[in-house]
Amino acid sequence: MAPSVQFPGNIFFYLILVSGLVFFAYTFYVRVILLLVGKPDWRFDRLWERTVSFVPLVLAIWRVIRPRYWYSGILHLAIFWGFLTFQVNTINFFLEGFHENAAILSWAEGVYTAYFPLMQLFEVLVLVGVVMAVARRQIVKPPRLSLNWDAYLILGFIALLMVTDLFATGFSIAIHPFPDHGRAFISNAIAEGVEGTDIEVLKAWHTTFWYLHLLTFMGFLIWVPYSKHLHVFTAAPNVFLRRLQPTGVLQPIPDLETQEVFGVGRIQDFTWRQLLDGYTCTECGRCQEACPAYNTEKELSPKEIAHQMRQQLLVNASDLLPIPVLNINVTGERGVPLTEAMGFDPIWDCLTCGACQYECPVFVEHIQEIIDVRRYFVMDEARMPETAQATLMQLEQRGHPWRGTPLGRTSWIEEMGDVPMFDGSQEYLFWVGCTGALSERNVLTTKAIARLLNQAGVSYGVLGAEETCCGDPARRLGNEYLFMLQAQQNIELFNTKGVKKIITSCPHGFNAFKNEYPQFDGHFEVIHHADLFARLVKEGRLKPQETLAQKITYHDSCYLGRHNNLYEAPRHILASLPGTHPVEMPRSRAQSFCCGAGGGHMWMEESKGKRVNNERTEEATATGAEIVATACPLCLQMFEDGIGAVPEAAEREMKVYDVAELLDMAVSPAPAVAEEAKADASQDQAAESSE
Amino acid sequence: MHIICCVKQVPDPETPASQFKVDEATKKVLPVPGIDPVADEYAILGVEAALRIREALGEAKITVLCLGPEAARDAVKKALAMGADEGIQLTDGAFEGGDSYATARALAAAIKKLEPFDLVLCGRQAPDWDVGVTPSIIADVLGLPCVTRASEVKVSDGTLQVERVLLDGFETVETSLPAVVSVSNELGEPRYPQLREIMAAAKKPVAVWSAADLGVDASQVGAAGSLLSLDRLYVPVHEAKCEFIEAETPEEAAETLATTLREAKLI
Amino acid sequence: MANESGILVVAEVAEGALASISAEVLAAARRLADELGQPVQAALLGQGVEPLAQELIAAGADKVYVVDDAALAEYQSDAFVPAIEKICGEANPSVVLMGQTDIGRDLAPRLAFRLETAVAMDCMDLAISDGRLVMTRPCYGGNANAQHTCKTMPQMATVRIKSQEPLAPDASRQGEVVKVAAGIDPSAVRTKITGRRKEETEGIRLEDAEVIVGGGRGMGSVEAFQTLEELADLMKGAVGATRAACDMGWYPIPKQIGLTGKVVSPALYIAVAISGASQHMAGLSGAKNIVAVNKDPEASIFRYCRYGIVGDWKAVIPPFLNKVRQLKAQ
Repeated sequence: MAPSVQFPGNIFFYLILVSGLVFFAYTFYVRVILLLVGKPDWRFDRLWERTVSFVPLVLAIWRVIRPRYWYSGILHLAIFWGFLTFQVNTINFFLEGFHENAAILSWAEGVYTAYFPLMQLFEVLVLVGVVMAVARRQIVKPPRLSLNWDAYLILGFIALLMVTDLFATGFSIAIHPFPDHGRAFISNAIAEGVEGTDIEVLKAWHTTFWYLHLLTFMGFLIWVPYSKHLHVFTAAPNVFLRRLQPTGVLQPIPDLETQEVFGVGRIQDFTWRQLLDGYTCTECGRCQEACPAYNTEKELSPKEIAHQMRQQLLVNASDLLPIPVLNINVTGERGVPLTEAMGFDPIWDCLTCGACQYECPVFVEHIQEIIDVRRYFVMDEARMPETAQATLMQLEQRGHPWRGTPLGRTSWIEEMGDVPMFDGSQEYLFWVGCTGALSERNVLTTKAIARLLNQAGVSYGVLGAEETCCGDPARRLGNEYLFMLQAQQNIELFNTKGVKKIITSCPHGFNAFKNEYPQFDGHFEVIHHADLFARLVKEGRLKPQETLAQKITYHDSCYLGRHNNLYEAPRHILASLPGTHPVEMPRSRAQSFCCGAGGGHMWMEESKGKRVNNERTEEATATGAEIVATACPLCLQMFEDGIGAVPEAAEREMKVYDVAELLDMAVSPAPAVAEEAKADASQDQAAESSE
Repeated sequence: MHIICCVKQVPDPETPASQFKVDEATKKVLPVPGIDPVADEYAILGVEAALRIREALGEAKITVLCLGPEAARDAVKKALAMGADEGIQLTDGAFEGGDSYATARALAAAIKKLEPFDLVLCGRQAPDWDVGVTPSIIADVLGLPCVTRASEVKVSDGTLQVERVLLDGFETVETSLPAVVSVSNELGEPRYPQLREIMAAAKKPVAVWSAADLGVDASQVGAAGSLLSLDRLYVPVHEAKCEFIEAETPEEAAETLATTLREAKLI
Repeated sequence: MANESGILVVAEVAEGALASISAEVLAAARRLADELGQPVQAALLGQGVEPLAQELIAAGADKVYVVDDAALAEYQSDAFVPAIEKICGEANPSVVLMGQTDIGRDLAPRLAFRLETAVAMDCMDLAISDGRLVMTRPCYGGNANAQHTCKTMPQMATVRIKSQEPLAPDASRQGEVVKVAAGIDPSAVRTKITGRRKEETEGIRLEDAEVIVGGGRGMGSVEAFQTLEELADLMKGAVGATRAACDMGWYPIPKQIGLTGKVVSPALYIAVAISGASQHMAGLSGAKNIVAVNKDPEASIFRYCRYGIVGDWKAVIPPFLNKVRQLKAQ
């Protein structure tokens, strides 16, 4: 029952409603057309998959309620579901505002009152959620959160919405009890509490709460688009329109040659969906908490990237749109180049490990956004850290990133002898990779792989001197043009040679061939050696016999695990080794912590903060493992370095091996012994090139 | 202002020593499969120096000159991508097999043909033959002053100021234009070309000139015009006689080494 | 000109004294001249240099041509080239030699051009075969050696620093000193030296050091070189670096050892995190003993070494330093 249908009651209702809606519509319109200044981005493929996954990801807020974040999970569930349930009440409320006979309560009383207990329960739960949220911000103060007044304002709105509704309904019952009013058990209690009060006083209270509810609602509606809590509107579409490919994939630049700007140098160079990420990010900071760069005192925080996208879009809105834009609660500075707002160092700190994206409950796509800005730095401005530039030049000139290597692509083949060259007659091309061929330490892995392939009788061949870079480093370092050329060249070579299936030892090449070459019409069946060997062990074609070590801990490579979902195969191999007892690091599988080599950082200087590989080596050391196993040549290198630098690891003489090396030692112990001695020395020390 | 930069394509100086081989019969370095020739980095720094002069003056035309076979086009392309305006390639069988003298004469003839010019920039020494006399010979053939091993090249009021690298310091030299300058690695890093420039480079003109175009007698250039004869080319042998200090720990190895050196009276 | 005879050495003067390279080149000239049965001539240019002529004779010269002229106070190729050209006109040598120094690198090609002949730069070895000078020089960054002969006369070469052992000075040797009027036209000198800054070096010069600690690309930082300095100080030696390390800005450019840097000849060279690329080794041809610490057992530095440790320098050098300190204290 609305307070009054007589003048001036309804006038106030309409005034508040219309002015609120107009204001909201304006703000919302601005937000929407601002998205459209972004570039096109087709996100409407595989609609069925999107629709089906909507239930767990949006309705069940699956990613919000991960065990690690149970507290925020519970409070979010309470508030989110409470809000959803509450919307029936909101509809009733506005109908009632138009005319008391329009209210659902008037024409479907039975149904509506049956809904009361649930709704009132959720209203309480929402309040509990709000209290939990405030308590967290007041008492726990997790560092990942941006603690500001905006959050309290929003929480205040939410709490007030519940309280005003409970009281308005309570006074309504007190004035004019409707059938089964006991079902609204909280409001009914309020009504019982004010029993006997003068009817006019009750009416005044009812009117007050009713209008307070209306004002709160309209205030909330108006404020939300100005708040970081815009996610209440945008999270669902953002999740629905997420990229369905593996997170390791970077997108090509269509018609690269004719672009006006290469990469993202201005806010409008992002795609509309990327801009939506900016609106959606709630600054929960889970990305930051998982980020290896942030956790080792680098300047990057993925949260800050999303935050800056939003700030830069809004602060420059007047320049982007033909209409005046009202800016409230925007902290960015107008006219500052996007690259400056994002920051040179943060953009270059990213390891592209994807920990942020795995953690993000609303599917913000940090990696692509960061790399897009890197692309601008590299291709448009030619501005990059010295070591990144040296690496790119090296890739261009020599087709591999290992400057000054004393090895040639065929050195290991000459040493080993019986390695078949790929001529189209074999089933698999074994793609050795730059690191596998040119880095002394990794050559040991390469030889182990070749021995195992021989042993299991796999039909394979290698390309020898014809191999070149897969393109992953160039792409991650922002030189999309170079990547494109390298990918096209390789695809042509593969097609000419009749390559159908590829074995890779490097997860980076694996990811490039499997997920990125299709962008350039290169379609091959790609398998990582860990996957292949796990299968061969299962099939009994490789039989591990030798006992190696008790405790082995497996480090998940980002590009194999998180980006490509390959967690079990390497663990299968380890489990198959006689006498071993695999132990897990606290951060493993999808929550694995990068070794520090991703995103081109294998070849870049890491001068700030703690070294990422040392952080990870310490974690591995703490498990008490004697051996760290990896399935990535770059991780292997990083651990070799880390073991040298972490005193406890060095004292314990912890060793790092590729799973293929361990399997090789267990399968054919004789040849492996000689190699093992050599394995002790690593070879990251890039040889002097020109003096 | 017209600056001419001489560039060169060379076998990759970072070719691993284990892969480096020569054919003693033909006295030629054997190409290594999978290792492509690269642009001489000193010469590329000459291009960088030219670009810095252009930036300082606001205007300059930069012509790249390259003596070498068709495949040497990559070095020209690289210079064009960095920002040079046009390229000229001296490609002719007659130019092949020349020593520094024959090469310098051909380059000087081409430079003469490109008159008027103000400055010729070269690398201090190409990392194939490691000689470093070509810039001086070019200057002498053209009758120009020459400053070698520059770490900084500046032009103001029509004079050239060069900081050059000495074994124990630096020297600043002034001279008039036109002049020839050779550039050393102390100049800094060459710029990384912007993609826009790389794509524009594909459209820049590259002319190919033969010995006849230069009006030089074939007997003056290439192997025929060489003054030094190459009698032998071989890979020197280093005997491996290293005694490795083996020990349980690095500390132990270090201490053993110190004691050993002490016993050998080396410390 | 025909009937060339004599081996002319262009001597170098640095800060009023003969540069050490002069005696090295004279020693080579003496050896070649004795084989050819020709005299050794020396060209001495500069201002107030005449007193040094006797030193050249003591070091092996038979005849010294002196050009003493104010225009030659500082090296300028435009002044030096015509002066030496004039000496060559008088001496008519069959061979002209000088050092591969700052001056030699600049002067040799220009002089050769004037004499209408060629020069082989940076020779490690000079020999006579059939009356012709056979010049051996490293090329391809030290990966290969080339042997040249000159088709024209005089035959010219520059000699790598420290590649030749100087003769013990013999004060009793007799020789002739000939003064040559320079007749330098000041207007022909087109370059003007406007400044010079010497890189301040504390302690021992690299060229003179008996012990050198060298650091390479594997060092990783400026700070890392401080450890090497500490070690060098302890052994009364100097610190050098590879070009890679200098280019990275970890150590001053004048401390660069190698093909485009300094050539050194210490009794002991300790190569730390240096892989041993031929371009760097080119500066160490005079080193008597090389010791290396490198993580990579296959690093080519070990091919030049007397002793080697395979390991991370960070783990090896600090205990090494302590042990040396301890040994020194005994």
